[in-house]
Amino acid sequence: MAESKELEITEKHQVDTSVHQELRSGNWFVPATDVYETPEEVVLVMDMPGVCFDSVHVNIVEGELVVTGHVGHGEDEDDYVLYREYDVGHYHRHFGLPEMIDHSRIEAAMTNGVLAVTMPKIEEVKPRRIPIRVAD
Amino acid sequence: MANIVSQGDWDPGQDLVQLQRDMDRLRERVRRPVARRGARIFPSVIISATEGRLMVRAEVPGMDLEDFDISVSGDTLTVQGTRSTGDGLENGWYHRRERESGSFSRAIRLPAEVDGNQAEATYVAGVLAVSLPLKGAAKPKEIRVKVSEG
Repeated sequence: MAESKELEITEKHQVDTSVHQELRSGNWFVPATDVYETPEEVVLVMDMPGVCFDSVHVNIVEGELVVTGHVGHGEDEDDYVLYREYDVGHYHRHFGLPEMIDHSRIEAAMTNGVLAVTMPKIEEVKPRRIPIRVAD
Repeated sequence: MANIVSQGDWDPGQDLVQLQRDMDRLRERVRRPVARRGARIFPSVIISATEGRLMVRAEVPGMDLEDFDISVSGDTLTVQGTRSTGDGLENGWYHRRERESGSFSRAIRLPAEVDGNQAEATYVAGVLAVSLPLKGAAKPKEIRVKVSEG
């Protein structure tokens, strides 16, 4: 819901090198992420400004969901920067997947710099209403 | 005698290449201004200059161009809007909430005079970019010089 709260700058977090040492060149950031669960699915929503839909990669590697997003070829490379408050960089984050996720049905969509990964639960885990018959 | 520099492997050419690379990196670091920390007003911006115009960029993912209220008055650019996250979650629950939502309004004093009427904004992949032509830089004035024969 849209609150009347005023937005403040939350600094972009560089990748924590104690967990993941990035050896590729460029700046690497951890995308701000919301994770929510409904009875049917688990959804990840990640802020990845500067990443187009064709430069984001979502893979499942040994039970982990690995998300990598590359920002387009340094969009202000040709400009002369007068004033800079933030750094532009790529994104990387990974998540351990719970058993209940149906790997074959995971879907991802990218809209306006926001990646949404929808991970449906396997059928058995979904809550079901069990009809109760009235015994004679 | 122990060699400080292993004679067999020493390749002065290679060292020079490495030195050149280090110098390039250092120059790159000096050329690019370091990100300013401490500003609290959302959104953070990058102001740059290209041929005849200023560019103001801001990372504001998850909006539409219509959601922004952008205006130029004199040398001040104002960007306003409201970003909402977590819409339509009635029958679910959060494990983690890092994405901020709320309203923002930021006035940015521009470092040069611009022609506000010619300003244009684009919003691609969550990055807002406002292009502001510099005043008087639109066209080089053509001055006709009379050539008289004589």
